[in-house]
Amino acid sequence: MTAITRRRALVGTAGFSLLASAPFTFATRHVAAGPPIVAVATHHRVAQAFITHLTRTTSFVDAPVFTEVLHKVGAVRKAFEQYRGCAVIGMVGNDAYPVLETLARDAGAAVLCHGRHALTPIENRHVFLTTPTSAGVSAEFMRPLVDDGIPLHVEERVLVERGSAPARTVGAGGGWIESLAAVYASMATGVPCQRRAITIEPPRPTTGRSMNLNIESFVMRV
Amino acid sequence: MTDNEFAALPPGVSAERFRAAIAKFRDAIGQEHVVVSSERVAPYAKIMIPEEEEKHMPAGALMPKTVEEVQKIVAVCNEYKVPVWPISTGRNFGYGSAAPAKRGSMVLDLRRMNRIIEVNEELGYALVEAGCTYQQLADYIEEHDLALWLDTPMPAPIASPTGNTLDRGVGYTPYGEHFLFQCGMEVVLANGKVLRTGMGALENSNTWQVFKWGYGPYLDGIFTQSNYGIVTKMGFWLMPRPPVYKPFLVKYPNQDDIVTAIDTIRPLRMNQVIANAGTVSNALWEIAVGTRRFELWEEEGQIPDEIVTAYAKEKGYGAWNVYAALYGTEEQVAVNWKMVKGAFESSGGTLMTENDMDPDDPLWQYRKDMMSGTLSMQEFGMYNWRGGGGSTWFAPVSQARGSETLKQMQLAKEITKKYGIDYVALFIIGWRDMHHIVDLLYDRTDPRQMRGAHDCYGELLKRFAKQGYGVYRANTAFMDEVAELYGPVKHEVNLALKRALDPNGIIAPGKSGIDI
Repeated sequence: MTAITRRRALVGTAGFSLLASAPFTFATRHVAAGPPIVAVATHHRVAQAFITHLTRTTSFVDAPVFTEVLHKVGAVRKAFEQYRGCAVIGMVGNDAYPVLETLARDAGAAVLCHGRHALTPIENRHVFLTTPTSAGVSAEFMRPLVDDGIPLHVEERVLVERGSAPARTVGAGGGWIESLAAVYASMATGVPCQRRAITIEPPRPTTGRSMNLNIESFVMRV
Repeated sequence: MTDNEFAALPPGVSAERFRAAIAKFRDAIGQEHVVVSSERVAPYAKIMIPEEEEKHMPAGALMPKTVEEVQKIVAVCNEYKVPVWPISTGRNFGYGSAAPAKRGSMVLDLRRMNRIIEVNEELGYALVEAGCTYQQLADYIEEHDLALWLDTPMPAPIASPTGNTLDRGVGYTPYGEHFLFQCGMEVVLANGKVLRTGMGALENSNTWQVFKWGYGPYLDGIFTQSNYGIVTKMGFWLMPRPPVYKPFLVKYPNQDDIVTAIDTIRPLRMNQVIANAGTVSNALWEIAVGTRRFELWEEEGQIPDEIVTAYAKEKGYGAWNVYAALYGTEEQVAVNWKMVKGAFESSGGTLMTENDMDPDDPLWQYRKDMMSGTLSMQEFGMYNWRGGGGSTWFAPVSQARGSETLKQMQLAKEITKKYGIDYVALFIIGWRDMHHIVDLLYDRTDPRQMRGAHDCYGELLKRFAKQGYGVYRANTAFMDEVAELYGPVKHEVNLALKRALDPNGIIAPGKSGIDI
């Protein structure tokens, strides 16, 4: 167990330093066009960082009720009704996402994009399940990423066409949360986000375990 | 027309012809209840089973409100040879979710047909439409203060009694074998006629939900795990709320103790001392519900036994954990408890009741909830164990003998280990059988894991079949293989029934390997 712990710590530290030095570029203005946006995030630090970056990209209403989907199904159903006409952007756990998506389906929502993000000490993987609206998201997502020394695997599975965009494995992964927030905000609003370098406090991975992450993200239109 | 006009096309149907069928569907049920836009079809395509979504991509979804609308849909399907894949709510996670077995079917989403037609407290039954959820029923029972219990599967608040029963799912109270407690169906056949099974065939019958068999051949069974009709209403029995409910837990320290555990349970279950479909879960199941894998082990390959054992010991979990309960009057429970206590204590297990448990222990709480029909989604925590949205249930049936469950456990562990998949398992206690449930959890972002889970399931099927074991339920990726294992004669009969009842093959092609 000792060896494992040490390895986790080393990886975590490296991840932290590189994330902190990443040249983040994000929107300088809040995007006003497009549908109102509702944002959802679990309490996980990465999900919260995603929301922080979203804040810098666009305006939105925080809707924590969606994170309680495993305990308050009725409230989430009502929330989907309440936010009819809105775009919902979020990041939740693997336990909550399948349930949330089926409730969205019940509400007649369109799922524009669904991302699965797995960060391990040896590889970072991002798989996007896209539709015609979101096709090409993986390229947009990857563009601003910086090299953090951990192999990155980005794959896009276009749901409505036979076949998938080929997976790409490259040595770049730093800054993915920021990139994802910008790409999703653009997708939800239909307006490309302007970018400039700003200082954003990175998430604080204090132990190696923090580099182990598996989480899901999405953009829906209710 | 664009390349992406439709998410998929029904097999053998051109885009032009499909467009014409869509127009007819819209005339039949209203434009807003016919879904073909890719973004709205996408959630119907999401699966957790180890296969690509594209293989199960629906062409769209139809959401009728009435039986008459279902009949109109069936007519259009026959005219244009467009198949439908009926779902009640589509929460068959781990068996294929809402997505069809074959690419290009239209999902027939019955969730708008969700009326509670009757709940009879005196006779203890309910009659509901197919899209009615357990949550709706629970709310109804609470609102009307009825002395009745539900029996629910794991995703209860969002699942439906009809969908779960038709796939022969189980719950955890004495009414746990759902199809056993089903009573009466309304079925729209492929020719548009409406069949009411059992006593429901009689005009003005008031015995449809109290007597299962009716007259002549018993038909309800052929509409479960099948594609011979579209079940639009279903009756089922509800358990009278018992005066006393006494859940308990028995922990066994060693993996081989599964033999003792099962041999101790069997006579108690057969004699209805333990009346409910309790569970016997392994340590890893207990751990996976509330823990992420990397907290114990971040290497590839199956998590080693010694790691699981050490963690289980730290947390106070047994290698095997029996959750069961007693129900009845004070006197009945007292008498039965003496027998239960004597049997389990002499077997070497550690017996615990409510008084021994931490009331805030989520594991105990959700088991206690589920054995009393209270809705819970606690078990979804298992999807965090490995992460990445991958899960499929391998579910062979075992005799309720310790030696048999041990043999199955050893075989499943050996095969899952070969593919680096953890053995996360429980046995559900039947009257004479055990449903052996193995959750193959994997990360869909990792192509190697996805391939491994797929191949692992395939090998489990084949090698269990060599030993004479079959699954009680299968995911949509492996329905053809499972059907083949059950032999050519059964398959021929299944196909003969299909040709007779649905000659155009418009209902759920591929369900249980039945496709013409």
